[in-house]
Amino acid sequence: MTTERRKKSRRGQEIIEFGLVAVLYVPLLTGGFVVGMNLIRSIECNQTCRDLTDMFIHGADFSTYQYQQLAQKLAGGLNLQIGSSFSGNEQSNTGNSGNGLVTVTEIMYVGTTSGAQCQSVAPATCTNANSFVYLSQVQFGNSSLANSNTVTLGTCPSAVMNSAGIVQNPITASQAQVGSSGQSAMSSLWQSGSNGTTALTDGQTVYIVETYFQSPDLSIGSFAGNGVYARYFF
Amino acid sequence: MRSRDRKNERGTSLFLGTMALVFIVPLVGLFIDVGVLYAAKARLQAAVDGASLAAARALVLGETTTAQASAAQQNAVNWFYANFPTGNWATSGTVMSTSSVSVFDDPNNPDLRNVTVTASTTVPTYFMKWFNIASTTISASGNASRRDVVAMMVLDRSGSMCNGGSNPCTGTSSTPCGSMVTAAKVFTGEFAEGRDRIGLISFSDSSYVHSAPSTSFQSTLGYTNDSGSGTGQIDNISCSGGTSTAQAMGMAYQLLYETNLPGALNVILLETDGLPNALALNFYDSTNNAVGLNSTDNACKDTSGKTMNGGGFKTAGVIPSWTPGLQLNASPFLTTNPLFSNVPAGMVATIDSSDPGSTTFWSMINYWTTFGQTQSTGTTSYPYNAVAGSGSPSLLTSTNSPGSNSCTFQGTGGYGKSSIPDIAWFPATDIMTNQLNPSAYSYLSVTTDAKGHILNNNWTNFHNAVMNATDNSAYLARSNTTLPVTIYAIGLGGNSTTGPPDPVLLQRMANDPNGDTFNATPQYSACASETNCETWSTQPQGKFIYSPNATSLGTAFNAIASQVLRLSK
Repeated sequence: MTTERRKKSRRGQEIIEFGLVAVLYVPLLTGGFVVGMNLIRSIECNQTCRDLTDMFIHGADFSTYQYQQLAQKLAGGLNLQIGSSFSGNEQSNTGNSGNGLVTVTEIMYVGTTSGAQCQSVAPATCTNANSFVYLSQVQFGNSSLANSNTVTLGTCPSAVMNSAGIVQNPITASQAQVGSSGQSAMSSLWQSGSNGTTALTDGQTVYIVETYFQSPDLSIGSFAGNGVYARYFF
Repeated sequence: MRSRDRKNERGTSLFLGTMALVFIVPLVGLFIDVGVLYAAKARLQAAVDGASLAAARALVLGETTTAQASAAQQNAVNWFYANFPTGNWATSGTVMSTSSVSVFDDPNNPDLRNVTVTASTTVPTYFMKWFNIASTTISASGNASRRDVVAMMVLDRSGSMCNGGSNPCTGTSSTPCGSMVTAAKVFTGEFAEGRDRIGLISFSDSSYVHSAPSTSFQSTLGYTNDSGSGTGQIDNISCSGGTSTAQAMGMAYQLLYETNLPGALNVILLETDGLPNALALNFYDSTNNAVGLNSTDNACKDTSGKTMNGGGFKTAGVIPSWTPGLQLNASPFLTTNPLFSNVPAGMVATIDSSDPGSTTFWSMINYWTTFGQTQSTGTTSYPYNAVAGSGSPSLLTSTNSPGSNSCTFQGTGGYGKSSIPDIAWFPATDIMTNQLNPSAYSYLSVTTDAKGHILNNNWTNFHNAVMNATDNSAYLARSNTTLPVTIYAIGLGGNSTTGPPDPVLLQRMANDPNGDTFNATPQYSACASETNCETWSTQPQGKFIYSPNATSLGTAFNAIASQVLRLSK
């Protein structure tokens, strides 16, 4: 009888002990898994961004479906959606679902009105002197992911671009100017002169690829695996 | 006893599980630290990659190769710290400066310059520091290379470049001709003096070699960039006359071939504002011992003094020399590695036709004497064709017959002839071997005789032949496996209402399958949806840009320069 009581009293003891250990293990292992997965995705995101920079510098036109498809393949597993095929060029192909957004931007610094860029137009019409201007921008993926953290240098107004994302009058069109936050970011990065850097000169161009991939499957309540982001200047 | 054992087992799982944490926590920490290291390394690697690409791009900045190397080193620093700011990923002690960037010629390809960028940084650890490993230093190295560019600019200086104004017009005038000169100088300003090689041919009825590809192109041709500007051969261009594009393209390719730098990026940049309408032709077919004159011709004599109607032109020995020939491997061409043989003296002349608006022949021109060899500069009487001596260049009018070997041809309708009845046919190739009716492919259809001569039956047949020959000139340059060339084409609209640039022809020439990516409203479609448009995936793919007006010409030249500079990496 005594033995039976003792057996009964031990029922659930392992479960309780397991539960106590699990309090330590589950967050540890789950956190480790989430952090690890995000690190892996971060590396994948970086690699995708690097690959796209390499393609772009060698002439890839990401306003065409053909090259967007290649980008999608490079981002395999990150769920970059580009929708159904299209012919010709589309500056913006962002009406898609999926977890990815890619922005390819070309920005030029326009110097003073006496510089070659302003002199190439009538200097009096050189609206964008002493500022950064968009030369081109192409975006594809899921537009709902676009915000100041994922498209850090702003979005070029479509009114000044053609279907291939090329800005028509970058020197004279005021809308071609990078927005104020983008101007600040570019100035901070490029014109500060820290670490032995020198300021960009009139006409110098910077190519930028930005990739963002959200991770809804790694969200744990408010500890959301919001996503991974990479940006490269080249 | 059993009871005590059971009592002793209580809490064992909890104890073991907790004790295991002593090993598991550092293990998880190690994974996380290694993961962070990998992520930081990926960032650092991408930063040096971006820096090396930017440095390679900067190899065009500066007037000397030393200055260009310095510019590359400085750009590498600028781009690196933009990609990898101080404190990125909590790193510290980042080492990257101009001394971390080396610029050197490729040992296996003298036309290739390499840039290597190295950087290192210290990454803190979050868990491993408990084991006295507070940080780890990681390093990365990136490499990029830039191929030197060998480019021939082929610029249209036909009369339509004056856009209805006084003709000839100069490169300093407020005309499309002037805009072209300005844009071309910005183009040369974008490339690396001392490393790249750029030459220039301008063309109207005939072509003029301003300069073979030269490393001192900025001082020879003129330039404009952020460093300043200089005048040169580009400034000497003045515009007037027809559009002999095929001949200019052939001569440009000859110069690239003679330069013989297959390790470089070989490029032809063609700018034109109209349809090609002139060809340089040899009317004696030595293969078939035939001349392209009609048997009814009573105006032109061979060296024995006989006309076709009188039984002349029967042997090679009596073929007259309308021109003294053209040296294609002597100055201003180069003397080495010629692709094309010299054009011999003979029944060589340029046929100049109209645009589709009037469908006439304007002239048959023999102002070949100094063809392509010299050109008056400025605005002398015939700066556009280097006409030597006096007299009208037209041989179609009955009143003009310059030169002792010239012929006065019959025609109807005044200066613009609706037909040239003395001509029986046009040869199968022009003097630069461009085919007027390519056998493997053809842009437009033409009718020929049994020997492949192009029949002189109407204006359209000749027009189509000119278009084919122009298309073929690009095809020959792209398809030559020894020195394949990438062709870029700019079509300038708004000048000629009767013969604006043909997008399909220029898409074919540039081998560009894409539609208009330049204008706000696309002016043409992708090649696959255009009638008679064809591109070749095995040949270098260039780009065609349609500039709707002279104002956009500078942007068009810039876009091409940007494309070439991107591909030279």
